[in-house]
Order: sequence, then structure tokens, then C-alpha cells
Amino acid sequence: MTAPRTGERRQFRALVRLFAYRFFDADIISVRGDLSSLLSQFAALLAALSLVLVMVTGPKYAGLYQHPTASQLAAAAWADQEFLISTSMAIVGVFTLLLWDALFPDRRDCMILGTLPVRVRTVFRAKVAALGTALGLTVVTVNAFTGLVCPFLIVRGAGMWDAVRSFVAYWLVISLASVFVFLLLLGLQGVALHLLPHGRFLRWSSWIQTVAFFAVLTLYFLTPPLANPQALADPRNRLWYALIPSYWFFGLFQFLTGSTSAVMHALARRALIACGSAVLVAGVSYALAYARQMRRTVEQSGIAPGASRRWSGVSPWRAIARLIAQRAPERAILVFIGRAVARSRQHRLLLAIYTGMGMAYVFSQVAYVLYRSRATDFGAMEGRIQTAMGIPFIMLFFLVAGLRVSFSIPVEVRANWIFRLTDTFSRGAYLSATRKAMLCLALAPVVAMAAPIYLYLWPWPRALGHIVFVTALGLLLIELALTGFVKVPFTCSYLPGKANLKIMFGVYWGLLMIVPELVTDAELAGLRSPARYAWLLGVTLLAWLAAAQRGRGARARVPTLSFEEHPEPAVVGLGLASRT
Amino acid sequence: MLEVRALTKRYPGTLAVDHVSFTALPGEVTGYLGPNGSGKSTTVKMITGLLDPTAGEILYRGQPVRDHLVEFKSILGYVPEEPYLYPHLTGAEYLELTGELRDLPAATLSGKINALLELFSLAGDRHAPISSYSKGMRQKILIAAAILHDPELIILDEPFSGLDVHAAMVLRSLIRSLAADGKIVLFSSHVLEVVEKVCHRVVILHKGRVVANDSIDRLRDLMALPTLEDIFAQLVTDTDPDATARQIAEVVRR
Repeated sequence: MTAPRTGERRQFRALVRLFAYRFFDADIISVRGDLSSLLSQFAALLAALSLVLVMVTGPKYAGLYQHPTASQLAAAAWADQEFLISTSMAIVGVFTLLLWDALFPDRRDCMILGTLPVRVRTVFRAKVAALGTALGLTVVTVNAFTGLVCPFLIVRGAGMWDAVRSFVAYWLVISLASVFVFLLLLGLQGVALHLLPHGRFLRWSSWIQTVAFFAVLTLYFLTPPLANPQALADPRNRLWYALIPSYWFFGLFQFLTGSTSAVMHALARRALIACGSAVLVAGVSYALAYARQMRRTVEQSGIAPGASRRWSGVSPWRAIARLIAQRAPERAILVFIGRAVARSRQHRLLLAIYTGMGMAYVFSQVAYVLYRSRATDFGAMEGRIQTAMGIPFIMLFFLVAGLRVSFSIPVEVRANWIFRLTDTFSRGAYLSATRKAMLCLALAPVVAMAAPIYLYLWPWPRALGHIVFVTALGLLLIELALTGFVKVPFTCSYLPGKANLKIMFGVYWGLLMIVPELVTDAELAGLRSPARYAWLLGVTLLAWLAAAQRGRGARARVPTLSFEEHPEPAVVGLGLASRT
Repeated sequence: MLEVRALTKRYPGTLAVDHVSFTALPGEVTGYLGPNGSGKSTTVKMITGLLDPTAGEILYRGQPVRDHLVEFKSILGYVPEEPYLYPHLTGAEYLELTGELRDLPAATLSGKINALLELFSLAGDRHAPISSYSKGMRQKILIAAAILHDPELIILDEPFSGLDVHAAMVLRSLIRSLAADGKIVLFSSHVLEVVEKVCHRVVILHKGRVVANDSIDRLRDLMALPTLEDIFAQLVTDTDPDATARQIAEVVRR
């Protein structure tokens, strides 16, 4: 047998490149898609977020809007320190959960790399390096502006030494906090991978991912604001400090910047112990994964086992489809959509992200009422009612947007031939099924969850009026979301970078800031006067009918359903040649 | 010489491969046949090091391959049954990755890649991602990746899958010439006409066990049957194919 000629360093470099790209599953992407454009847009968004954070936190230290006292500034600095740490931790948590499937070697890696003369340790090192690079880039991008400006604002010191110490402490703490979150989630998957039988792990992994996603957002938005000297002095808060990781790293930052408080020292110690534990658990489970999981992955089927035989004949979604769709093709598409949402890990995660964003917004409103406002500051009862009214609108907005986006991401795009063969005679049924799926998956759950709560909290005429209005607004929202959507959900290739994320993000954010406020204002006024309410509901229903009519017209002008996304042409022709 | 000795693979509740033994010689194409689920791919995965055997040994040039797995893989070329490829890479990039992982000299690697893409009629699609490739194009990339490093041992698991007539003829001829160069070729396929044309000897597997291991000519003589298809049917087919086909047609007509 001849000696191997393999150079491990060269293999390492090739594998790091491969794994870095493997973080982004490109199976779904249109042939003409530009992944780098999408990634650079995301990086720009994160950096823009960092700039916004500087603009939010910075001015008070410069005394631009007001002239706070030294003690007020010190309290603000504490809150900002915790805010910046917890924001970095939350973003890294979301980032890690997005890469969930690429954290450990998958079946494709095992099947391709397993037959090549590459040592397992080289694969292991390359994967760790790729993960570290991705994590590092995320942390640097998220702190691109805050990391350069905030360390000099949030620590009040006079000398050069204080500034340097604050800068070093900031980056050290942000890095440690990010690594902690990353390794915690890595360890979570690693422990599940080793403890569960492989089939059960495949089935449960995406649920663990979704639950962790909601946990990260809930923790971020509902953490009580205790980063102030009064809260620190209150012994009732000790449990919160002990349980919430962002406070541990806040304590570490305080310790590194010269705090002598015993509580801060205890929190700093807790942060370091947590980091050490995360390194240990993640390190052991990750190393073990390469020692035994690569072979185990090949031995096991890549298909997650289905439900138990006892439940295999029960399909509530099919029963719903039978109830709301008369024609067989319409029923088939409805069932297809329901099963794709229920079984595709990628689509479920995408929906979880949108639902999570909606929940984050709702949580932030609830947290405002809970922690940061007394009833009088918040416009008393009216303000609370308005906040409560806005919750179903916001959830509807995010659910509809999430479904609309997930419909655009294909499930095994090459399998769409079956729809291409049949779309000529079932096109109307396909589009109608898409609309009904949105009604069932977005509007129905929001109404079903909101109705009992409002009926319990409010007098029934007001609750009923609100539910009817939410339903009308939901119908309008769904119609607007499906404007120009001439596809069977999950069957058209996806073209990343086609939508301008920077502009879309701004537009959506602007709409979200303004529209719920306007709508709830109008509805609140309407609920006081039946005539106004009837007018508001009538206008909303008319808008819905007009949008539906416009959508039908637009769809009629498109000859066939779309199965391949095309980029906008660089040069738009006027079509004059064809007229001559 | 590749020698498989009493190779066994047991999964919980299933004996996938049961004491399989055979030898594949340099300069010969050894056919490895069997119906679906007979244990062919499991055997191949054990030979390539993807799976650990429950029992038995695999020897190459008299040495157990488990003791020198990385060295063994460096002289191995493998076309898997399932076309596992990284879809975000282009055809040329995939070959470049494989060449780099096999540490081929950069100077010769790009020349080889260009030549192979040209010869496999993939030069025009070299910059397109594999996700856009047809089944046949993916198969050609797998074949090119398997022979890129001039391996001593080549294992082909259903290599004709998805290939057009011309590409299939080229591959058939290529298998013969690789064997003529003194390489060991282990060839697994369901297309018995091709096996009959290119293989010097065949190993037939049924329910995880070897039921025949000889040259095709000797098997014809021993079993007094004219074709490999007849021999195969005699050894491994439990039901009458015509009767099954009639039953299927009956179900369709209902």
C-alpha cells in the first residue's frame, strides 16, 4: 500500500471553505441566484442595527437632548451595558439556531468526505474553524459601531487608562457572552444527539431548535430591567440575577471596569463558571460526535421516522381540507401546504422566526407595561386597551408575512414537475387553495386564540366588535400578501438577493410603527360609536373586495404559474420591436 | 488484490451481510450483483470505510484496510449509488475540492479537471451549480471525481444511472481500459447485459449471502444456462416476474 500524499493543511483550507458555504443551504436557490448578495445584505443589516444602537444610546451621554445629572447618567450607563450585552447574546443565539443543521456533520458530509483520504481530526478542526469564523464575523458585524463608540460612553472615567480598560472589557465580555450562547446551544444539540436514539433525534431536533428560538426571544424581551443600583440593593432580585445570563456578563463587565461590589463579583464568577461549563459540555459532545456520530449517521437512514402507527390514520389537516375545499386539486394543494409546513424543518423554522418577531414586538409592549411604565404614564386605561387591541394585528401581520415568505422557499424544487404537468387545468384551484391555507394557518389561529381572551376581559359587544374587525383586516392583509403570487407554494425556485432587504426592512418597520397605532386609534373611536364602527368595518371590507378583484385581474394576465424565479433584467426593453 | 473475508454486518434485528467472502484481482472487472436489499451497497460501504463491519476482514495487498484506512482511501476511487454532491458548488469546483482533499498537485489538477470536463461533455456547464445539473450530469461528475487521482482500486455502484447512450458507451469502454491498465474494478449494477459485457467474473449476493462467485463463462457451463440474466433469475428470483406483472396490470385496471 502506498503512503498517502495528502497534505493536511491543504485539506484543512479546502474544508473550511466548504463548511463556511455549507452553513447556507443552497439546495433551494434558483440557478441564477446570488447568495453573496443576500449575505452582504444581511451583514449590512446587522451593521446598520449596530449604528442604530449607537444612535439610541449615544446622545444622552453627549447631553444632546437633555442634561442628566451624574447619577442619572450612571444609571443609564448600567442599563446600556446590560442592553448591549443581552442584544449581542440574543443575536448570536438566533444566528446559532439558524445554523442548527450545519453545526454537526450531516449525512452528506459523511457520505462524501467519508470515502476520501481525510482524517476525521482534519474534518473536525475545519468545522470548528468554520464555525468560529462565522461566529466571529457575526459578533464583529453586530458590534461594528457599538464596539467602537459605546465602550467610551458607558463607563464614566476620566483618564486614558479608563477608556482603554473599558474598550478591552467591552470586547472581552461581548466575545465571552457570545461564545457562551453559541456553545450552550451547540452543547444542547450535542447532548440530544448523544442521548437520543438517532431516529428520535432526527424527529425531535427541529422541535428543540424551535423551542430554543422562542426561549432566546422570550428571555431577551421579557428580562426585567434590573441593571440599576436600586434593583441591585434589593435582595428580592437575587434570584433574577442568578438565573438570567445577561446579568452574569453585565457583572463581569462591571468587575473588569473596576467595580468593587460583592454582587458584581459573584455575577462575574458565575459568568466565568457558565463559560467553562459550556466549553466543557460543547467540547466533549462535539468531539464525541466526530468519534462516533459520523459512522452512526451513515448507518442510519436520513429520513426521520414518521408518527407512530396508532396515529398514522388520523389527519386533522386532511379533514379541514375536505371541509373547506370541494374540488380534488384544491384539496390536494391544501393538504400539500399543510404537510410541508408541518414536516419541513426549514419552513417551520422560517415561520418560527416570523412568529418570534411578532412575539418579540408583543413582548416588548407587554414588558413596557410591566416594567417601564406606571399606569398613569401609559395613558392609563385607554393606553392599555390600545396595546391589547394591537396584539392580534401584529401577530397577524407577522404570521401572514411569514407564510408568504415561506411559500416562496421551495421544498425539493426538482419535484415540482408534478405541478408543472397539471397546472394548466387546475390553476384556479391551486391559487384558491393557497388563499385558504393562509386563512387556516394565520387568520383562524389568531382569531381562535384572541376571541376567548377578549370575551373574558371585555364586555361581549366590544369583544365581538373587535374580533369581527380583526377578521376583516386579516382578510385584507391576506389578499394584499398574495398580490402577484402566481405560484404553488413551496414549488418555485428561490432567488436570493432579488428583494432589497434594506429597503424592505425599512418599509416594514415603518409600517409596523405607524399602521397598528392608526388602526387601533380608529377602532377605539369606532367601538365608542356604532355608526363609526360600521363605517370603519365597511371601508375595510370594501378594501378587501377591491384588493381581491385587483388580484384576480393581475393573475388573469399571467399565462402560467411560475416555477422558476428570474432576476430583474439589467436593461429593460420597451418591447417596441414586437409591435412593428 | 482486494480480499473480502467473512464480512458480516448486523443491524438490530437484521443481518444485512452474512459472511461474504470474495477476491477482486488487478486487471479484472469483478461484477457484484444481487436484487434490491441483498446487501450489495452495505458491502461496498464497508469496503470504502463508510461502515464498520460487525465481523470479518477486508484486505488490500494482504493488509487489513482498517489499520491503514487513510492510505487505503487515497488509492480508492468510488462512485456511490446515491449521487451525494454539494449542490452549491459548480462541477469544476467539486472536482477541485476532491483534488485538493486528495492533495493532487495544483498544476496538474486544473489541467486534469479541464480535460475531464471536456471529455464528459460538461465544459459548457462548468460554472453552473450542481443543483442545476441533470441526473446524468451529476453522475458524470461523480465518475470524474472517482478517477481524478488515478486510483488503484475503483468501486462503481450503479455507475450507469442516468447516463445517456453515448456516455454509457464511453463508460463501458473506460471500465475495460481501466482494468487493462492493471486496476482492480469492483462493479455493482442491475443492468445484467452491461455486466455480462464488461465483467470477467461475478459475485452474486442473495439475502446477504454469496450464492455464486465465478467467471461468467464457468457459471454458464455449470448451470447450463445461456445468459447471465437466466443465471441470476435461477439463483435469486423467488417469484415468477410474468405472474407479478399480470397482477399489477390487473390492479391498474380496477
